[in-house]
Amino acid sequence: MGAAGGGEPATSVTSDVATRLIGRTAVQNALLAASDDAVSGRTAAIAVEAGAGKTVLMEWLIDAAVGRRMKIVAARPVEGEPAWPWPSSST
Amino acid sequence: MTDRLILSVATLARLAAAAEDRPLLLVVEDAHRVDPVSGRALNLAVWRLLADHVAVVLAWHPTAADRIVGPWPRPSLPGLNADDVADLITAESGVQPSAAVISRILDETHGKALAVSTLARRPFDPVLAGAAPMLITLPLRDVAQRTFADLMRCSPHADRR
Repeated sequence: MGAAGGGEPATSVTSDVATRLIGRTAVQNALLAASDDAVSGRTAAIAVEAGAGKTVLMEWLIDAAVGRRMKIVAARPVEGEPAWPWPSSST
Repeated sequence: MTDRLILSVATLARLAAAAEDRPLLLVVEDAHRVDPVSGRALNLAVWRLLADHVAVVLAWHPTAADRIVGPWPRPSLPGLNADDVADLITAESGVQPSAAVISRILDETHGKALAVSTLARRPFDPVLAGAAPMLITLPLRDVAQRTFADLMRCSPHADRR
């Protein structure tokens, strides 16, 4: 497997997930680093752009976070109203 | 205090409280679809999280109208290289792709992993192996455009087709 950005992420995954994660080593390591920062008490924020197989990456990350005994909050917004139809003091 | 600030402070307080007993991972997939009000609240809240046990991960399409514009590190995603493409195609299809096919798929997909993976699952094993004429691969561009229209619209490549 070609890899960029370091060695293989230190988590175990099923062969199916591993297949779908081929070539994502760099972003996997970045995501793990963010998780580790949080575990260490340093807030971390990271953005992953589409095309990296973000859904499988998020599934993998959640599994990894569970292994780190992290609490998980996951959301997937759906396309709806671009803005609320009533006035807002913030806009 | 404006409504926006109240919402942001409330979001911040909820995140911090949730992370009190155990580290918290907040994952927002398709974050480009977050409504603007929620996006602003989350954005301001995360700006103010410093030493809390919180990791925030956003997965999004890089649209022109980002609704969450925080100081997010964006890991470099250079796209798959030829070896990765070959491995992925082999893993997905069971077929060892020919060099010409790898090159063509790299060209068509810019190494986007999701695009490569989806193409590899299409039933054209002989083409992948180089045993059938490349002519059959010519619809790749159409396939990519149909399947990944959103991705291509958002692609930073100037030559998106």
